[in-house]
Parts: sequence; C-alpha cells; structure tokens
Amino acid sequence: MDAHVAPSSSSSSAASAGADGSLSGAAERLERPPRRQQSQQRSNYGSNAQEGINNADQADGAVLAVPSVIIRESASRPSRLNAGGGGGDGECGQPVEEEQGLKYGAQHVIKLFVPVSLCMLVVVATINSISFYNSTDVYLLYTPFHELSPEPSIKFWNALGNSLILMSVVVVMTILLIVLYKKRCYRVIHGWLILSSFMLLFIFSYLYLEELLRAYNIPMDYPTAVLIMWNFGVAGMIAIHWQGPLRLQQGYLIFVAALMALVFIKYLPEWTAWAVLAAISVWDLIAVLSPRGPLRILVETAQERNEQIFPALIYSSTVIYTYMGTHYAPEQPQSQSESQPQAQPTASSSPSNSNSTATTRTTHNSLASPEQPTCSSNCRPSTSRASSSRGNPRQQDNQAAAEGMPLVTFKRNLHGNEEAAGFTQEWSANLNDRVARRQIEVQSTQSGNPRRANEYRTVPAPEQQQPETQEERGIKLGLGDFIFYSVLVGKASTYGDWTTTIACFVAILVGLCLTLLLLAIWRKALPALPISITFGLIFCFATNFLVKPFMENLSAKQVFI
Amino acid sequence: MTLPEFFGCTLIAFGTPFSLFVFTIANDSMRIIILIAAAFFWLLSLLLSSLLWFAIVPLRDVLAFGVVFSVLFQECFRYIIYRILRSTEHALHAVAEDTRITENKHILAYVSGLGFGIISGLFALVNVLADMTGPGTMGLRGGSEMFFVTSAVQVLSIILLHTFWSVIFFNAFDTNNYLHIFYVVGTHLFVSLLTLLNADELYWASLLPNYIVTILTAVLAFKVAGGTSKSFKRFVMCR
Amino acid sequence: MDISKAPNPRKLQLCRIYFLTGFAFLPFVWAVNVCWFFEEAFRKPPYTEQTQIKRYVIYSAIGTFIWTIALITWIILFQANRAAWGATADYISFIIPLGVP
Repeated sequence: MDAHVAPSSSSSSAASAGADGSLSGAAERLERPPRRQQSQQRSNYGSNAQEGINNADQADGAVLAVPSVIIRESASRPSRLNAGGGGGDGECGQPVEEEQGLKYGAQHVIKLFVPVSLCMLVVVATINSISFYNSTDVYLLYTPFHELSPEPSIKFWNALGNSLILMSVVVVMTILLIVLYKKRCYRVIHGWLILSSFMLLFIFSYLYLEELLRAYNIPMDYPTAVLIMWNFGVAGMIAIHWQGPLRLQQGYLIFVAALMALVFIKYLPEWTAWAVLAAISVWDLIAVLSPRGPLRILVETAQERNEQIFPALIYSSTVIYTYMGTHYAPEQPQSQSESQPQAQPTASSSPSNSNSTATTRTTHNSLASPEQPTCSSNCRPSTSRASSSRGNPRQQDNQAAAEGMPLVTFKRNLHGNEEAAGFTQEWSANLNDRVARRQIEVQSTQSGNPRRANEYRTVPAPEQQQPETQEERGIKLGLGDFIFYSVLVGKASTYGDWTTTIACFVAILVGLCLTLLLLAIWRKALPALPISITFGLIFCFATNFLVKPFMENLSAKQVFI
Repeated sequence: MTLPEFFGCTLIAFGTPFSLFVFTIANDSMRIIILIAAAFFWLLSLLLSSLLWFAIVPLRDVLAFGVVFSVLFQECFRYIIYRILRSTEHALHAVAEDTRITENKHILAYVSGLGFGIISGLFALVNVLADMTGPGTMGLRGGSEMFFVTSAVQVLSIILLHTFWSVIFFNAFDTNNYLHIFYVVGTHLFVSLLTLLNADELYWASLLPNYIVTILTAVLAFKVAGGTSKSFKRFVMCR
Repeated sequence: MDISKAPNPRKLQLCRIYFLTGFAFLPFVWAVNVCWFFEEAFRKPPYTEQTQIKRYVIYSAIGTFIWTIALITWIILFQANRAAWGATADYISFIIPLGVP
C-alpha cells in the first residue's frame, strides 16, 4: 500500500549476500550510491519471494538487517515471509544495507563509547585515589606464581604459567557453560549468574566502600554502612536480574564491570595481567571465529532454539527487550482483526519452544528472525507449536514468572567474566543482528495497514504481524569487554603516567570503532577484544617506553610540538 | 595554591577546546568518531617521532632535532588523515546523519584539527597538571613560578593552532594552494622551535610571537573557510 | 526496561512490587520507584491504573523522605559525637579514621 521513500533497502534480501558477498570489496561498495540499488531492490522484491523460502535457514552472519524502511505492499507480503532468502538481489541490497548499518552504527558507537569511557573513568579514578588497588599483595587462587623474583626471565615464566592456568580455567568454564546450555539447564546458569553478581554487588562492593572511606579517612558507623550496602546490593540485584529503569541497570552494570576490573588489577601480578590480556584476546578470537569455537557453538545453538542467548552479561545501549510477553498480550490493543489469530498463537508459542527464558524476547526471536529454520516456523510449525502451547498457557506463564523475566543482562563475572567477554560480544553481535532484523514498530502491529506508511523502520518480518513487540535497536557489548578494557587502562594508569593512560584510552576506542565497522561490514559476530586490546597493548608499552621519556623531556623544557 | 592552580590552568588550557567540543562536536556521533580517529593519528605520529628520537641516541639531548622531525611527522599524518577523509567522503556522506559534515568540507578539517589539537595539548600538559595537584609544587625544581601558567597558555595556543592549521591545510590540498601548505608547515615549525626559548624562561619572547601567529592563522583560516570581514561583522552584531 | 511502553496493569504491578519491597529497609528502592514512575503518575494522560500508581509513588516519596531525614540525622549525630561517645562509638564504627578527632 505504501511503497516508499528513503534509501529503503529491504534488509531482507540484503541478508543473503551475507558472509561471502560482503567480504569482498566492502569499501568499494560503501561508496556506491544507494539510489540505484534501491530501485533494483524494489523490483526484485516480488521475485525473490519464491526462492527465498528455501533459504530461510541461511548463515547466521548474513543478517544484520538494519532498521530500514520497507516497502510494504500487500502483494509483496509473501515475499517478506522469507525475506531471509532471495539470493538474487542480495548483492545489490548489501551496500545499501551497509550504509544504513553504518549510519545507525555511528550513533550506537557513541552509545558504547560513553559507558566504556565511564567504566574506565571509574577504574582510573579509583586506581589513582585509592592506593589499595594499586599494589598486589594478595593473590588469586588461579595465579600460584607470584612474580616475586627480580629476574625478568623468571617473571616471564611465572606470568606465562599463571596466564595458562587462568586461561584453562576460562576455557573449562566456557565449555561447562555451553554444556549446561546445550542440556538446557537454565536454572543452573541463572543461579550461577545470580550468585556471581550477588558476590560482586555485596562482597566486593563492601570492600570497595571500605577502601574508599579509608582512603578519604571518613568515619562511618556500622548501621549506616550496612544500610547502604543492603540498599545498594538489593537495588542492584533487582535492576540487573529483574526489572528496573534502564539507566539504573546500565549504571549497575558499569559499576560491576569496573569492580571486576579493579579486582583483576588488584590481585593479578603485573606481568600476569599483561599476559592474561593478550591471552584472553587470542582466546576470544579463537572462540568466536573458529568453526568449532565454543562461543560460536553457543550462538548457533541459541539461534537454533531461537532464544536470546540467555540475556547475559551484556550491556545494552538501549532497551533491548520489551516487556509484554505472554501475560500481557491480551492487553495490547490488537485492532487488526486479520492479525490477531496469528499474533496470539505465536506469542504464546514462544515459551514452549524455549522453555527457559520465557521471555518476550524469545517471542520476538521466534517471530522475527527470518533466517533461522525455526522462523520459517512462522508459517507452519508455529501453528503446531502454538496449538501445543495453547494447551497449557497457564503453566507457561508461571514458568515465565518463575524463571525470571525478560531480562536484560545478567552478568556473570566471578568466574567467568573471561567468557563473558567472549560470549558477549559474540552475542552482542548476534543479538544485534537479530534485534535489528526484527525491528518492528508497534504501530505496525497494532494499526491497520494504512498506518503502515508511518513506520519509518521496519524489518521484513516473516509475517506481517508481530504481537506487540517493539524493540529498540542497540548495540550490545559484553561486560567482559568492559572489564578487560578497563583492566588495560587501569593497569596502564598504575604506572602513574597520564599520557600512557590517555594513549591506551584512545587506542581502545579506535579499536572498538574498527571492530564495530567490521561488524557492520561483515555482519557476523565478532570478538571485540582482539583489535582493541592489541592496539591498547601496543600503545601502552610504546608510550611507556618511547613516548614518555620524549614527552617528559619536552614538557620539562616547556617545548611544545 | 595547588588545587586552585590546577583548576585554573586546566581551564585556561582546555576550557576553550572543551566548549568547542561540547557545542560543535558532541552532538554529532560521526564527528566524535572522526575526532578520536584524528587523535589516534596524532598519537601515531608522536610514536614515530619518539621512536626516531629514541633511536638516534647521540641527538637525544638536542631537542631541536626531535622537535623538527616531530613537526614533520605531524604534518605527514595530517596529510594522511586528509587523504583518508577525502577518500571515504562518499561513504561518510552516505553514513552521516548530518549531511553538513560532507557538504561543508571545512567541518571535517575542523573536527580533525581539533582532534589533533586536543590530544597534543593533553599529551603536553596532562602530566604537568597531575604534578600541579601534588603536595606543594610551585615551580618545579626551583624553576620559575610562571612555569604552570605559561605551559597552560602555550597549550591553548597550540590546540587552537592545530585546529586552524587543519582547516587551512585541507583546503590548500583541495585547491592546490602550495603557499598555504608551506605556511602551515612553516608556522608549525616556527612555533615549535620558538618554544625552545622557554627553557631559558624567555616566556615573552616565545608567547608573544606565538599568539601573534595564532591570530594570523585564525584570520587566514577564517578567510579560507569563506569568511569575510563583512560576515565577521555580522556575526559580532548577531545578525 | 522502558516503562512507558509497558501495558498499564504491568506498570501498576511493578510500582506496587517496588513499593512493597521498599519496606524491607530499602529506601533506595523507594527512591527508584519515585523517579521511575513519576512520569507515569503525574505527567501522563489519565488512565484507570494511574490513581493507584500515583498513590504508591506518593507513599514511596514520603518513605524516602523520612528515611533520608532519619539517616542524615543519625549521621550528623554520629559524626558530631563520635569522639565523645568513646568506646561505644568505636564499637559501632565501620571505619575509624586516623588522626586525632
């Protein structure tokens, strides 16, 4: 009814170009003017319809569909069904999409810069004001070698041994997590996450408060301290694991990441910290990108199940989930009669197919991700599922309630933050993909067709009806990334040289930028640590050993360059 | 006197750039990214020049040598970032929400210049600032008590100069105006070498010419960006 | 989460839960409740659940206020009289600052 406007790319078809197409000549494509594609796109629309069906299950990377305007015509609706497919015009759709991706990307990059910077700021400020975190006198269990020898070679071996041990712990934890996930032990995983965030919010925060007060020599009595800790911790648990204002949640996540980074800085011996940083980024690379990498397996599993990988460990720049979900579905005004039959069933069906995080998100996922096999379910399986789930909606609701919610971000840090790193960016990338793909404006669901014209961004949803879903698009970054960025910057600032700190900061931000750029170009989950950490390490050492003496010389003589 | 001095010097040096950042950069995410990228390139140039300085051991004490090469490296990297920005202009145009960023070429130049300036100012001053808060430092090692203030003032001029230089430099390459390129490199060398006088506490001899150069460069940059005396007058009169 | 997009009964439920949670010595949760639902309670066009939400928000605000006053009073008392109370004060001190009071 309303073909329109804008560099509308059907994100759908673009998706298919995906992995292979996008790799080559991304830059060149970027420069291509969007208009041409658009028209082509439009004409192709109908034609892909048929072929698309088969491709419904294409590669996961393929899809970061960016919020884009879609040409909604009733005639072409079937085509949207299998939007994921459409090999034909994928090539031309791609560039447009990239541009769109980058366009929205720029904003989101900033939305990530701010929290990352805040996290680093907290860490650096703490390091510089609280001397407690500056020196290592107690050690983690995982680092049996304490680097006490003055001999560099021995220190080197110590660091290597420590980081190997730590990395194997990480690997084991990752694999454990994946096994749990494969076996659908969601309760165990949630328990794990809750336990670790509990420890961070109560125990480590308590230590932090104590050191903070001690550093500034402020007297405080136990009743006040206990009240503060109790309030802080409980509100944090609520905000992180249940529902709370987004800002509060983000704040807590940043603080928790900073706290974890401080723990690392405090308890890891110096060389070990650097070795761990290097090792973790390599591990990140392997785990996310290698074909049998654990994180990759995890993501694929999650996609098969159409779940938001458990809402984990992720900082999201905007609201990523929407409440709603099964309980509230009825309340949504569903004016569109045609839609209703379809929408309702799917909404209720989601809990059944992922019987864990019975969340709204799962709903979205199952509804909207065109490329996944399950999604094709929208046409057929969903009905069957729907019918099955229809039977016991009550039960599901209970489950949803019990299980805890459309949550946003759990983070599990205690042991596994390393994994967190991996997961998260993997996830974040993926979530991002998916979220983007299924961006549906509320109106689209609620309003009749005529109003469709107003949607400014929608996504080729597999079906025209999305039950009251609305997601805002946001890039998500793993808390693990926050932690290790902050560890790097914080460790750099322990040398007491601000230029090193600033250099690391800039290098990490540029690395993050590049990662996000690659994300927009390749459309597949990417590890966020390697580039940033590599830059950060290079600049940290180069600044410390080369630039610092030079700059000190210059500024002592007041020479400016 | 430590903390007030710290805030005073911080505001002298970074007050203007900070407000420039807040009012002209912070609203547009693309500009922030370009700013950070420019800062990164400046860091690279600094890295190269300190590598050179470090590698040539016999000349380590001759700062003039390091300064000259550092200036040359900075200008090289300014050229590199110019090339990069111009070659990605199409992409930028497609990507930027605010199309002014590509329609008005001077915005890119301004943003990257400010990035250069801020990072170079930070590197020059941040450790001095950190020392300022320290327990009771008035003049370092019995030096002049004007040390901090002059450093801050000098840094301000450097930051502004970098911004103007970038505007002139980018435009000069767009229009093949070699005179302007020469002017940029020349004044940069001049200003940097002039600060060598600071070591002998000849602050007036270095600051005064530096600010004269700053004003001249500002006027030139204003002209290059399409300003005229009439438009300036109109701006002042708020019309 | 973004409260403005939640259905009304859900808002009420959340607000209620936050309010009730606050009784467990959690003034901070009340404060969050006030900030979070203030918009809903006072700035939105009226809807059926709004009166209840308004009530919870106001009660939460009162609770927060009382707690704040109490806490501030106690802290001032403690800080002022810490030295005078001697051993008792030390006994309940979380941090005993260095130096002479």
